[in-house]
Amino acid sequence: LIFQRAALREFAGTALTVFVALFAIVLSTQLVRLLGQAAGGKVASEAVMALLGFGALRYLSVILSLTLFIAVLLAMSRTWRDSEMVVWFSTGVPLTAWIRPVLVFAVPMTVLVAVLSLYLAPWALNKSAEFRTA
Amino acid sequence: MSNRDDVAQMSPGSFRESSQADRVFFVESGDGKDGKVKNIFVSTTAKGKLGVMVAGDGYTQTVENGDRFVVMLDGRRYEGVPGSPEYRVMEFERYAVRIETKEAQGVESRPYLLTVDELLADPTPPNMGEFAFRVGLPIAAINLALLAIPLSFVNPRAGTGHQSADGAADLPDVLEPAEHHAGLGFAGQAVAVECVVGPARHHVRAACDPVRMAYVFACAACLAESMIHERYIRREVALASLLVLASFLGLFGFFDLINELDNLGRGNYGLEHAVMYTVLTMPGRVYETLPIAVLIGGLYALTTLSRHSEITVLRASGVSTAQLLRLLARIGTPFVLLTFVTGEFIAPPAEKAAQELKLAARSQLLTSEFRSGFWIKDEHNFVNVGSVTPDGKLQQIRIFEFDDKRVLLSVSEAARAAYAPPEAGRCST
Repeated sequence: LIFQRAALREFAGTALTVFVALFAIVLSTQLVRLLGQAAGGKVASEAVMALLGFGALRYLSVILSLTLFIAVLLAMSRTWRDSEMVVWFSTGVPLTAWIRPVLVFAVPMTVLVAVLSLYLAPWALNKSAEFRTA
Repeated sequence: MSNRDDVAQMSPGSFRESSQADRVFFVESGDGKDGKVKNIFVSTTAKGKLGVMVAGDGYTQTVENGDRFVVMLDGRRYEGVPGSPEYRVMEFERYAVRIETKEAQGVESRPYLLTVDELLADPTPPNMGEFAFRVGLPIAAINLALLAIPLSFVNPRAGTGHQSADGAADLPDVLEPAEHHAGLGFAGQAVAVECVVGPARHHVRAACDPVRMAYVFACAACLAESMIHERYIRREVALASLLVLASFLGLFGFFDLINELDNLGRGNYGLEHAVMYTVLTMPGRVYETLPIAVLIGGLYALTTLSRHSEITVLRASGVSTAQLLRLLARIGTPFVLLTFVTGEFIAPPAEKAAQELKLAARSQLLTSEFRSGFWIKDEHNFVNVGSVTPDGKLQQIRIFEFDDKRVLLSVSEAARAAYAPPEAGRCST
């Protein structure tokens, strides 16, 4: 199972970088926006941090889906470019064999996305709506 | 949070409604420090009776158990049944009204605020749409992951040149912009060495990049001094930054659009308005994200240059680190100007147009919306409009007329009204 381990390590590494970058960007722009609203008196300044957390929870599902896509895409196009794919082909690993490691990598993330989008995001939206009106 | 409640409950110049919607406050001016307030107007509805209290002066007071009161001094209270001409007038020296510390407006129920169980229990089209969106996200995630497998195909023999223009190969290429442009950028300058390297150039490019580049730089140095490498690096950084900016705008535009979709169906607010609104808020997004985009784009471009040993070649051809820094500062200046121009001249009018579009489409004509409707103060008069329909018709209007000594002159009621822009509102009972 060297193949699957190598693929998973590759995906996880890329995914981590992509996720950190996307998350940091979304968080920082959210923060800029919230600070602007707090300065204008639309939200309480004490609530900014809490609202930031709820906003992060809300966007996490979309960010995770994007991360998944970009990570697999980047990792696999790197294997193609570095002729690793040719090596795998010559050792008898077909392209369809990649479906398994991709699924092993994607299914836990998808479960997480499902939990986020079905339960956590509405809860976070509710909370932030309460914070805004209170 | 608590101190904001108090301020919000009695902020000068705006109307406030109690949590049961049976009492509306208006305070014209107030001083936060000693709690003194001026020109207080309170409208109450209880057991079918309408009560109006007005006072010129007053102050806010907090008693031991935390309850807050507005104490009105030397005012009048009018009490009567709507529709009947009989009104009782009471004059008082001191009248205290409790301000509730509860929130003024409850959380409005929208599909995106409901839990999954609540959505399924009430299968209206908006709720089902929200449910489909939530279920769709994980399905989209796994589909995207699988879709990435065939999309990742890159022909390694194509190198960095881009003869392989077939659809499947394009996407990863887009994600690798600097390499793409490294290929294109040198295509022009490489004409000089074409005859030396020969026609096999495209296929061996990846392998002999540093060597070839040294050659190009040698030629370039003879031909045009240092201008070529400056142009080259500028193009690299600018293209990478713009690409990052474009992807940011795509990402945020998507988020904004999702946000705006929640407002669909309020008034005439349709999909085209949501899209238009998102587009018009884009300049503001550009202003917010341009600095980060240039940072990431610059990092990316320079990393690619250094990975391909191009920085080493530059250093070897006599460019010092200080020169390189000056070069980067020159490259950064246009972006500074662009940020400034966007933030000062483009984003504000666009934002304004976006808000106007939203208000017009959602037919929100007036400031604050309570459960008792809209409240407007017009000189000495107070106007309460129960509801406004999207086509501009007003319903359930009540007008309290006062003279300048805060004496109630009349209370007029109407079931329907239309707004006629130049004249005053026409009422029809």
